[in-house]
Amino acid sequence: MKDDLEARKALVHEAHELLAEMEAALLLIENSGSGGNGSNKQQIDAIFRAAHTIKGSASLFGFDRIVGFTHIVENVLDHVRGGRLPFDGALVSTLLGCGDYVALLMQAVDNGMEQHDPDAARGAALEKVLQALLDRLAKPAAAPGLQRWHCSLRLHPDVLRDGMDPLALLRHLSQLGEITALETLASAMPAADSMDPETCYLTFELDFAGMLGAAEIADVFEFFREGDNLAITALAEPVVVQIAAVAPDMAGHQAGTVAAHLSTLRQEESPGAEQRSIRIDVEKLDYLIDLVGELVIAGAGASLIARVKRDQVFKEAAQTIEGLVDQLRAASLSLRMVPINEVFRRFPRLVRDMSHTMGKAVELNISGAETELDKAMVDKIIDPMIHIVRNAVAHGIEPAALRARLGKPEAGVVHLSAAHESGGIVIDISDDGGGLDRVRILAKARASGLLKSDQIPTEHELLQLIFAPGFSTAETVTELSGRGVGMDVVRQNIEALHGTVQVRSMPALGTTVSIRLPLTTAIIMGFQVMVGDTVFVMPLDRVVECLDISNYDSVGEHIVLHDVPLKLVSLAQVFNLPLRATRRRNLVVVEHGEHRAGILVDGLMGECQAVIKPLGPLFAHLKGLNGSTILGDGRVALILDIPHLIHQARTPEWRMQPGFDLPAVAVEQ
Amino acid sequence: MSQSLNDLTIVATLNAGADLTIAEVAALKPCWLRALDDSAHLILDLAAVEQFDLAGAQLLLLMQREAVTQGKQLQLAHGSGVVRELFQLLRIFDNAAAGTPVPATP
Repeated sequence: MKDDLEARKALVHEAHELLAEMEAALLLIENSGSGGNGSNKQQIDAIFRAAHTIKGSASLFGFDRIVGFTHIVENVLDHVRGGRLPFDGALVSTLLGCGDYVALLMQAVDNGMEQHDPDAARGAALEKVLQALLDRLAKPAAAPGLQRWHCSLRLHPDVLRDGMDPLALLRHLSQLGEITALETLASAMPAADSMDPETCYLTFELDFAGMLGAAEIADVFEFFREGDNLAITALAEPVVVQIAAVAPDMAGHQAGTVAAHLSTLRQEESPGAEQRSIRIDVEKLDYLIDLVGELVIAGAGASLIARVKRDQVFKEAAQTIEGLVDQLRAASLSLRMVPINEVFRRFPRLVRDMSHTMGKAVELNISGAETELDKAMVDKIIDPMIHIVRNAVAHGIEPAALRARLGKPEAGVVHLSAAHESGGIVIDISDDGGGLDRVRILAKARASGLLKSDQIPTEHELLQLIFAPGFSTAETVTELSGRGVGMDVVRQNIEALHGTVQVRSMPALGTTVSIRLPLTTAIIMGFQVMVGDTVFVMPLDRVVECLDISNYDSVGEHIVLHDVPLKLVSLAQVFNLPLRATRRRNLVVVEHGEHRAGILVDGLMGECQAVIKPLGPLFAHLKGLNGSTILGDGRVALILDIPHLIHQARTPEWRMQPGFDLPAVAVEQ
Repeated sequence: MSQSLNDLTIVATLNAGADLTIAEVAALKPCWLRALDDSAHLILDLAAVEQFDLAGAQLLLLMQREAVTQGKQLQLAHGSGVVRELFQLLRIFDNAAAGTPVPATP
C-alpha cells in the first residue's frame, strides 16, 4: 500500500513535469509562428512524448480515464507528427486545455479521488473537439485495399525488463491480417557468458498483408516504437514509411521514465538509463543539513580541546577536519538550491493566456533562468511574481492602438531576469509599457491620506507608495488583476523571506520591479544582542540603527527619536529576565514595513551568520521568537521575531506569563 | 547425429518448471548452461510450462545456439499448449518436435 502510494506520487510528479514540458513546447510552437510542422519537429516530438508517457504510466496503474483521454490526444498528435494536421493557433489552445485537464485528473489521482472526474464537462468538450479533428481526417483515408508491408522491428533492450509484451503486438497483427513471413533473429545475442537473459536481443523481420493503411499500422506499433527501432516498408509501392526514426536520447528517455516507475515497484534500476539527477525528499535534505550543523558545532568543540591541550598534531588534524566540515556545509546547503527556472517556467503560459484575454500582443523574454536559489523560496516567490507580471501585462503594457500611435512596436515586452548579486539574488520584472502614472499615484495617495495634501514626495518615495496597503490605481477591476490583493501583500510576502522589493519607472518607457532575496532562508545575517546573560539574534535587515542610551536616567514607554515618537520594548520585561543595573544600556531601532520600535538591550555583540533551527514542538507556540541558532562557542541563542515584537509594542499590556522560562534554559542542557 | 554407447554420450533430461518467463530466466540460465555442459545430449522437458514469454523463448534460442557451437544436441520435448503457440507465432523450433514424446533413450 505504501509502495503504491509512493509510486502514485512518482506518477503525479512525473506527469506534472511532462505537462510543463508539453506546455513549454506548445508555446514555443505558437511563438515560432511558422505553423509548419517540419520546423517544429522537436517540439512536436516532445509534446507527443509527454502524452504518450503519461498514457503509458497511467495504464500501469489502471487509471482508465487518463489513459482514455490521453489516447485521443495522442492520436491527434500523431496526425500532427505525420504532417496530416496543421499546427494552428486553435490546436495549440485546444492542446493547452488538454494539458490543464490532464493536470486536473492527475491532481485527483494525487488526492486519491481518481474515481471522480474533476471536470467531466470540460473533458467531454475537449474530447469532442479532438474527435472532430480525427473524424475529419479519417474520412478520406477510409477503406484502404489489401496492402503488403514489410516490418523490421528491433526491440529495445529493456523491453522485457520493463514488463512490456512484444508478443501481444505480433498476436494483434496476426488478427488484423496475415503475417505471411516472419523471422525471429537472435544474431545480436552475445556469447552465453555475457548474455543477460533479461535483456532483449531479438529482432523480427516480418511480411504482413492486411486491409490497413500506414496510419493503422502505426497505431498497432505505437506502444513499442519509442523504445524500439522500427522501419515499415510498404511492399506494393517502394515508399519507405519511417514510423519512428527514434533519436537515441529519446529512447533513453523512455527507458528512463518507465524504469523510474518500475524501480519504485521493484527497487531496481535500468542500467541503460543514465540518470543525471535524482529526487530527494526535502525532509531528508533538511535532516542532512541539520546533521552537518551538529557536525560544525562538534568540530568546533574538538578544535577547542585541541587548542587547550596544546597538542600540535591534534590541532592540525582538527584544522583539517574543520576545513572539510566547512566545505561539507557549503555543499549541503547548495543541495537545496534549484534554478529559478522552476518559477520562470510558469510565466510563458500565464502571459500567453493574459495577452489573449486582454487582446494585447505581449512577448515574454526570460534571462538568467539558471540562477539558483533556495528551494523553500521557490514556492513562496511565485505568487508575488505572478501578481507583478499580471500588473505589467494588465496595466503596464498599453493597448496595441496606443502603442502604434506612440511609435512603439506593436507587441509589448515583459522581461524576467535573475542574477546573483552580493550574496543574494535579484529578480527583475520589467515591461516596456507606459510606466507608472505619477499624477494618479499622487492624487490617489492624497485622497487616501497616505500623503498630506501639501507634502511633496521625492521621485523614489512616490513610486514606493504603490506598496502601501490598499493602494491601487487601476480604474477597472478586471478578471486578471485587481482582485483586491495589492502590491502591499507582494511586499509583505517578500519581506517575510527577508527580501526587499523596489520599483523603478520611466514615463512612456516602462516599469521595472526588482525583488532582492537572500540566497537561502536557512541562514540569515544576524545581529547579536545581550540581555543579562542571554544572547538574542535579530535579523540584520530589520535593524535600522543602534543608540547608546546610558545617559538617559529613566526610560519610559517611548522616546522621541528624529522628532518621531518611538515605542520601546524591553526584552528583559517581555521574557521575564532578571533586571540588572548595568552601566550601559542600548537601544536597537528595528523596523517592519511602516512600523518601527526600539528594543532595549544590555549589550551589542555585533553581526553574525546564523543558521536558523526551528524551535522544538514544545516551544512552537511561543510568540516573539522565530527559532534558535547555535553560536560559535556552542551556546544557544534565540532568534527574535521582530514583526511580532513591533506589533506587540503597540499593545502595551503584553508580556510573558509570570513564571515563564525561556527555552534557552531548556535547550542549553 | 547418431548416438551410441561408444561415444560415451550422456543423455540427460531436465525438467523446466512452470514459469519460463522474464521473472525466472536469470535464475534458469546458469542451471541450463551447466546441464548442457554436463551432457552431450540434453532433453529439455517443457511439459510443466504454464507461463512462457519472449524472455523464455530467447533463453531457449540461446540454449539452441550453445548446443550447436558446442557440437551437442538439444531436444525440446513435451511442449505444452502455450509453448507450441508461441513457437508457431515466432516461427522458431519448427522441427524441434516440441510436441512429440521424447524418443526412447538409445
